[in-house]
Amino acid sequence: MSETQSGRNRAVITGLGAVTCLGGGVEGLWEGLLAGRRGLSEFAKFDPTGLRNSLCGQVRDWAFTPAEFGLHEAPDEAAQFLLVAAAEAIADAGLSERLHAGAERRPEVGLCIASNFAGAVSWEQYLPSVLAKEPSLEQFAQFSFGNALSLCRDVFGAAGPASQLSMACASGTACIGLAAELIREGQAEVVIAGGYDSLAASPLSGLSLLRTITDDDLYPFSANRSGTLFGEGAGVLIVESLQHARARGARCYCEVLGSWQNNNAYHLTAPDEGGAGMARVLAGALGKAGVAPERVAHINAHGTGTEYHDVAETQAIKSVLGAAAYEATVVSIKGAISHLMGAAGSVEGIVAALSMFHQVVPPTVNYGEPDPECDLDYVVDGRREQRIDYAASISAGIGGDNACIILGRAD
Amino acid sequence: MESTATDNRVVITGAGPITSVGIGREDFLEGLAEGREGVGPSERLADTGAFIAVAECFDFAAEDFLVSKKTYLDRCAELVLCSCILALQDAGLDYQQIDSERLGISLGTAFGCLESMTNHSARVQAKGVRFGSPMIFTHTMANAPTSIACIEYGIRGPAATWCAGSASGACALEFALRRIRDGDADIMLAGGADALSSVLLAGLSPDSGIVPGEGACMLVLEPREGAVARGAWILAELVSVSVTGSAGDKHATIPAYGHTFGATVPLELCAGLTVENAGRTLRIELAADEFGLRGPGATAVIVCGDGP
Repeated sequence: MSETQSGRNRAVITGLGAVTCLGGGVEGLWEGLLAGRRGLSEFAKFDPTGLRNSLCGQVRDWAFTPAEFGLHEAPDEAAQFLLVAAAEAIADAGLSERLHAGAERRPEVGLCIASNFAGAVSWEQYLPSVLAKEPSLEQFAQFSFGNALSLCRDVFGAAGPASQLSMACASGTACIGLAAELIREGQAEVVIAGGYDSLAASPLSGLSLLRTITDDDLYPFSANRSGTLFGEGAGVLIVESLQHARARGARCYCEVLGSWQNNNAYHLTAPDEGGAGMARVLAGALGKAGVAPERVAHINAHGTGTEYHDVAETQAIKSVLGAAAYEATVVSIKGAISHLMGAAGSVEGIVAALSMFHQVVPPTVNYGEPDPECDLDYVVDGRREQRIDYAASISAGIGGDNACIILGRAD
Repeated sequence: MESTATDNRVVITGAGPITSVGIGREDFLEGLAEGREGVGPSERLADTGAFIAVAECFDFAAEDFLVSKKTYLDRCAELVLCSCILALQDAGLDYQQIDSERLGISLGTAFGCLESMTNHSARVQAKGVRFGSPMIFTHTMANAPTSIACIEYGIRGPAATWCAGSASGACALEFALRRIRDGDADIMLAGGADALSSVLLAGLSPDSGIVPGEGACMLVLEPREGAVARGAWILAELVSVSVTGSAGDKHATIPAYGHTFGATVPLELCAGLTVENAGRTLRIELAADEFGLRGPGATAVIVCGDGP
């Protein structure tokens, strides 16, 4: 594999880190998914009375040690998830000696992070302080979007290009694609990319009232699906130039070939007819990647388990891949870890990268009854070994935002 | 995706500033030149906390610009929707005449829709999770203004929302520059917006020395060749944008229209697009600002070459 393509650097994934309800970082996530394990539990963070469901993908037994990150105090919870996942990804990439608390600042290391609700837990604490006329400036700073970006920059000494996105539940996928663009353009040698979010009462209230949350269980792509369940966590990927990775003998999970992000331009909450926006995002990403649609062997789908979404996504995949859609495997991991909002796409990107690296795909956990309208190969009978040369990971979010990345083998 | 750009040069052909000193590019530049007063007590907010004077867009009424009536809009979304229209008009473009899949948007907003977040969350906190507002909730998200603009103007090309504190608008411009340069879109609306709200002012330190302001500034970016072909008036060429965390501790001068957070860089850029500056390289360094509300600061360097 040549180190450049059309004069541009190639972006490979060299490190992975995850905080999910399955626990145990990336290994716990991957092993759990392959085994068909579910990490959901009853809400413990706040009283779920009044929500349509008391099940969620909350991170359990959480312990954060500020000193490990050179911090005096623990930051907002969602930022904690991000920092821990980032540290795991950096270690996995073999970069801990360069990127750690107190290390020299690295202008060749960039950041591209994303969140739907940012410091949602801090917001819940800030608002009462305002209403009580004793506003907590500290809580406001912890809530704000830039907070985690500043923290990552300081904690890991990443002094290169830095940006933060918020594209609802498409956030975590978009940031991987954009990190790869920074690498391809030569703006950075290494980019720490990832999404993060934590469960809080206000977003959950809204998602419940919109009936996005099921009152039953999360059954992706199934006839008996009736909504999704939400969770929290973070997914971080180290995206690196192939040249830089090779020079230091790093392991490459896969290459990020291209990405696209758009909006349905249709409705704030309803998917558009036939999944047209998702079809455009998949086609757009394939175009950027220079990959023919029929060569996509695996898709890590958004697959939320909501009535409208899963059929729209299925239609979108079929409209872009044509007959090849029936040859591809299409997996939703949300039945196992729930919908991680802004972190969803990053964690799904990690799973797609591991699927490419190991050439094995996890099953769609908690698949229910077959739906004639959702008629693709959702890998419902356990893990499957599969030859995958090209894979896609798709996300979609409230507001009609979509993002898609195309991955290729790194060998 | 079809690529229409061949020489990879990207130009700015329109701007839609909305500030306390002027609305629309000409009025904004006049306001700056005249030294128009943009700072005073808020007319809209019941509580401005420790801030006696703010830079509110006093003369801004969304109805003046919107094509259709809206049931509910956050102030930030209003600013974005109207700034898009102003920018397109300034560029001599009608969104209905642009291929919707070749029209994109990239918005930077440091705080998004805080007023709507407050409206929703206060209900949740007072009465419980069953009593939030599903309608308002959809308007609370930081990407909502972008989404609403996409729906309103049929924007089906590349879309992104950036929330990186006061560097947000610079991130948005960088993304848009790349989309045009790569031939992913024919027209990109790119810029920033932030709205004043009581809940924002309560969270800012009065000791910071800033005058909190609100405003928006979307710019129209397009390939130079396309702009020349349609006879557009080219304000400047956008050569490069970089946003890094390597800034020093320099404090930027607060402009007459206040500190506008995510709109800072696009507004400074718009203010710099004057006859006197034509052909010069504009460098906008963002300091005093940071990604969030503290930290060592970010640098956004925008390089603008001359027009045609």
